[in-house]
Amino acid sequence: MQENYNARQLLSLGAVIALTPALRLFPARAAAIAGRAGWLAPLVALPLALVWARAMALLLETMQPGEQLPDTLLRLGGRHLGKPALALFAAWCLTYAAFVLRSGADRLVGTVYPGASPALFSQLMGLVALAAALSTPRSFARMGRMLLPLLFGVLGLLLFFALLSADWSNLFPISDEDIWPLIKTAPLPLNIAAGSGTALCFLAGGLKERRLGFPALAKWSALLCAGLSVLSAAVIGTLGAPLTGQLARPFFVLVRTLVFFRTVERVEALVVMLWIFPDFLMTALFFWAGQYALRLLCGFHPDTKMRPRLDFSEGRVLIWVFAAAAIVLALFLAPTPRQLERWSTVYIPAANFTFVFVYLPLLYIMGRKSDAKKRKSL
Amino acid sequence: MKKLLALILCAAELLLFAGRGGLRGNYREVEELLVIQTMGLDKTLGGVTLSLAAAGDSEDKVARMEADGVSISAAMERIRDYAYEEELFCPHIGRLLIGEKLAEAGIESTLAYICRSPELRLDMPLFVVRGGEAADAVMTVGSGDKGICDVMRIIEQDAKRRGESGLTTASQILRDTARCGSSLICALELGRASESTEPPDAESAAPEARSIAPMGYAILREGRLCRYLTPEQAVAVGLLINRPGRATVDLRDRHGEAAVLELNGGGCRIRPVWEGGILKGVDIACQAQASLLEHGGRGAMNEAEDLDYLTARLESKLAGWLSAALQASKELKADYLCLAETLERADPAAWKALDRDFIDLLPELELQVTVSAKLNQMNDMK
Repeated sequence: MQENYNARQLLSLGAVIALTPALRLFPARAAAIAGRAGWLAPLVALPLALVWARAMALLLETMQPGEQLPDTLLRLGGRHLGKPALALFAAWCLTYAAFVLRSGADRLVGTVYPGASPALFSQLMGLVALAAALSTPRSFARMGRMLLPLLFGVLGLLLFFALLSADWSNLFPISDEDIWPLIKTAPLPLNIAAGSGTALCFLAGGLKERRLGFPALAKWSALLCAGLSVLSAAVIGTLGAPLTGQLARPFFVLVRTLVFFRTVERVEALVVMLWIFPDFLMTALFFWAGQYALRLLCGFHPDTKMRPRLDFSEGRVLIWVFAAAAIVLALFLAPTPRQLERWSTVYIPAANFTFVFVYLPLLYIMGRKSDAKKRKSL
Repeated sequence: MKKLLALILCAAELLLFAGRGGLRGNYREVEELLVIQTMGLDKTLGGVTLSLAAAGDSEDKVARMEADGVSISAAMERIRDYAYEEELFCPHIGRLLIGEKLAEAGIESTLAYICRSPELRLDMPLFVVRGGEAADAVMTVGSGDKGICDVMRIIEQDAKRRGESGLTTASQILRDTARCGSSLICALELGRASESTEPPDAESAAPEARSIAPMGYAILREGRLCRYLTPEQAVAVGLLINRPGRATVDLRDRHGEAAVLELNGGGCRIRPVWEGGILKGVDIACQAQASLLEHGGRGAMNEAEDLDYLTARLESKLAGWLSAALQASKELKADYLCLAETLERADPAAWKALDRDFIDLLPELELQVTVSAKLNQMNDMK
């Protein structure tokens, strides 16, 4: 069944969910690796992001009408590798959803509720994301479109004030010595753009019009890279590269230091609360994709129709199981800040990179080869 | 969709009330909060002395408190335990005063505390109390309903009014220390207040009112206080970093009469001097503009020689201040002006070929200071 959402809504959803890794990971890591030139890394990554956009468009072209991405992956994997590939996809969705729950909770604890237990926030967010996953993908796409102006409006305002007070000597000069650190930093923004872009393509099967093509994905990637560049320029320009590299959440530290119009200050609690929305959408999206893959694996035929939330037909109980597993995993994942830092900067980016640049291309190549064989035999 | 949004909003509300000790742990009545605005830190044998002050209110009350502890957090807990004030609310602390002994021992741990604290802000100005203790300033400055917070607010507003270079924030100090190994911090000096709020007959019985005033900068090398810069040298620093503030310069005219000029603009062009790929020196060309504020002589100053003489005196005085500020950098091997970055920007290729660290080269560099001043305003008299 074709869903009632368009490419614009889907790309808006992608931009909103990209804020989660962008704010968690990018400014601090870029400053730590490339120093004051870190803000240029997204522009260095842009050509590779365009290559990803082309590759993703090719993968989306292989989707059959009525298929969602997990269906396509199962088909591309073929009789032998389809199910293991789908199991791997479900495991990735589970891990990533649990990580978003855990890191989102940590952000709330670190910025607004010192001393509180992250478990409470992980559970609450997990429950709300479960409610969304029980709904249809249309809700995510439409919510992404609705939230985009709010989140980017707030972000734009913050970046405007930050850039006004930024010290430009924190960003310049850039010399040829910065080229190698910039190249080393480029995988970070590439990972954010490609990871978020791939996540938005989980819902590409439900578009009511033509498929998501290269021009739309390329434009989206270019805008996202430009946004990442401005974001990191504002943070590094205000705090300086050495300090930005040392902070766990430099964007929220920046928000804490901003003063708007004399007495309007200390708005970080409000801003941190707004950032619940990208976390929620990211978690809900991975819940939805993960449970869909799990139900396919178990032999059910999931669809995207709106059903009552307590309807357990067609393996819908697995939505609850999947969400419960993710919440439980979030409670045990990276219990110490050091472990969370490691998950955030090493394990998750590495897994994301492998998923986007190894797993998906391999399945695509296998699917194409199998198609060619079938055509030959016919 | 609407139901889902409502559900999310409800959950967000729950999160707002969640926190330490349960769902309503973070909630506080605003009337019960004592909003702390100034914090002081001193070094003691076993740890630190923490002092806090809130702004005075309409009931002539300035809340101040002080406690010792092995750490800042321990001292804070002690204050909370023993204070009979309302609940202390620290997110609006707007400045931190640091005692001289603590600054000499190093403020790295203090800066780390500010970075880590969810309550304190990195753009908070930091001050060192020259020759004194921060607790002394926090607990004694002010009179009547005016306390340290009011005095410091005036000092900060005045610094902002005078120019951009007046205040040094925690993030600036962290950034400059990381980039250049050294930084500046604003210095304050305690003294007798020039204003009294007590009636004249009660003056003898009342304790002497104390106040605090800006007194140039202090140089921090690797986070440790190593020397003070006088207010005059602080003016030179403003010119060297191209953010000159407004400052008065006392001179004598060619007849020996007092004249006061006000610096109102200027800056420095800093260039490396290379000889065969070796950095030999630094050429500092300063331009300054000033207006005549006060002249103790015949009033009008309409002879060209008078103006030329005053301009020459101004140039000479500024050259002396600039040289002294730069000399301090050389002597201490403390690049608190981040000259290295400025010189690198001037010639990145030659800079890359340097075989020694700039900080090792600094004491050997020849500093050539030239000043060109201009009197651009005579105010209402010729």
